[in-house]
Amino acid sequence: MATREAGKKMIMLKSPDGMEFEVEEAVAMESQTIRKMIEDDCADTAILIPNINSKILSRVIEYCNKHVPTTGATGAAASDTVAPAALAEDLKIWDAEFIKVNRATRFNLIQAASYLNIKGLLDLTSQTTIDTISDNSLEEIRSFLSTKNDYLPEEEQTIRRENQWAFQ
Amino acid sequence: MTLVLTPSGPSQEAKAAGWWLIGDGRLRMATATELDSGGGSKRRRTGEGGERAHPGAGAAEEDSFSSLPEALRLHILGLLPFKSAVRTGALSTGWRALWAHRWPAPSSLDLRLKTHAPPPPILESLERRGRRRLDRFSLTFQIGKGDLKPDGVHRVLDYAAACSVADLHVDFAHRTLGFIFKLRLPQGDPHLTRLTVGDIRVGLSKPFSARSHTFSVLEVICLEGVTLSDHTVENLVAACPLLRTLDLRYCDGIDFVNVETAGPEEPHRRGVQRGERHFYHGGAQPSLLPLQRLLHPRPNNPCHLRARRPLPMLRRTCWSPPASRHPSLFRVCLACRGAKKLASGTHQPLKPDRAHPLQQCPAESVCRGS
Repeated sequence: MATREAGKKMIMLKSPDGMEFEVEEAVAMESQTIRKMIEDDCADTAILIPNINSKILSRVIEYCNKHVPTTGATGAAASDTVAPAALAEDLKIWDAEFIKVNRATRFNLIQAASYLNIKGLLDLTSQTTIDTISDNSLEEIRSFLSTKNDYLPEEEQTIRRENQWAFQ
Repeated sequence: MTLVLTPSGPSQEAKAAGWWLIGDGRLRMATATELDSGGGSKRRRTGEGGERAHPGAGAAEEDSFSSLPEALRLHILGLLPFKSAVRTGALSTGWRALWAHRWPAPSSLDLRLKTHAPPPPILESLERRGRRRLDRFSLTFQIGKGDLKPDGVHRVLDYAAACSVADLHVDFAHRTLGFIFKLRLPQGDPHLTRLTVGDIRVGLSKPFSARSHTFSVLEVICLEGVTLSDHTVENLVAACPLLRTLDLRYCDGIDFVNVETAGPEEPHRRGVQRGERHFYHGGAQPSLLPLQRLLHPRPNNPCHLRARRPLPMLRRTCWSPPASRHPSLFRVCLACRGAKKLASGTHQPLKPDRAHPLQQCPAESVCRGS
């Protein structure tokens, strides 16, 4: 295939607010959704990414940029100069830094990761949410998710009674 | 002669889980009305009551999580441990039943196997469901002429374990004949979070080693009307590093149990609501506070739980400070018919339909007993 040998082929991504991002094809292919488009030859002109604004899209591209060499290396050969363990450790630190964003951005990233089908990013972004939900009190979870408690007091009692053990 | 899947009187929990079994053995999803039936018809605080056909849809904009597509929200709920997922039901009306749909397959099964009815090949119909995950599995059965053989019961339970069941209930339908069946507990389980057993004999699989056969996430054990040995209790508790609640009611066969327990005052546990874990109800139950203190007074002392037959079982029970094996166990609850004489406890029925109101023994009485 022509796309494979041209390692530096560039793809144009367009956000709905008009910004254009030129990325390497390999980077863009981190997203399964875009990969499909490319493989189906729908990527001749710029690809419009709906629902993801330029700010989020640039973050997503940043993530893909960082993560693309590792996938390439593991795919290519084990004879790499850098030890894969060190590389993975490096990525982990980078990921932890990357995910230090405010709540709204995080939810937007989850949405973007899901739409673009980038598994690594989806796992990374939802992990924070999962940790928060499993480790905190209901009040803390509510404030994290900006959810209002709209139960009547007696309703809440009923729900707690139904699964009493989980609230002990 | 045979076994039949009957419509389980939809329990509160089954309702909460959103699924129950209907007469012909098929599973059906509870309708929105049924799911809401627990809530009453009063208007909620935010007003609009009609928009809740889709859980989560009503909360709209202020809830950024709810603004995520439903499939995505369910994906995240599916990654949560069972208990945390259940707890999300109390967040807001939009969350109420969401967790119950976190997996596409029905994840809560209620089986009541009865005698003298035409037999569905129970295992085959279960296998047809595949090995998709189960949040909750409840089995009520009896054993007799033509009924489920003990082997069959264990096979059904093996199936549940293969589906990574988190909340397991096993009940014997014929209370007085419970002694004829002995339930072999599995050799550890990485998914079981809560275990409830009623009216049978319970024993461990052999060989059993608490160290290698761990129930790594088991937090709550409720045994009611169960016959089991001291050895079983001790080993079971020792195999559950996260055990928080050991609830023994009307249990027979326990003579002297040495439960190694407790430790640091603030064990960090996943999914436990801070500030509420001292109480039985999640509400104020001051009578239980001393028990908590007794369980966590000073480290490096063994905790003895001593119970004697005949009833009242708790002729002598004493708590002394705990050892380090069980950093998380903070509540041991014992109740028996005679407990009233020992304690001015609170009513704490395990099952609402139980004939006898149960008396929980607060710690003061336990101390008095010794």
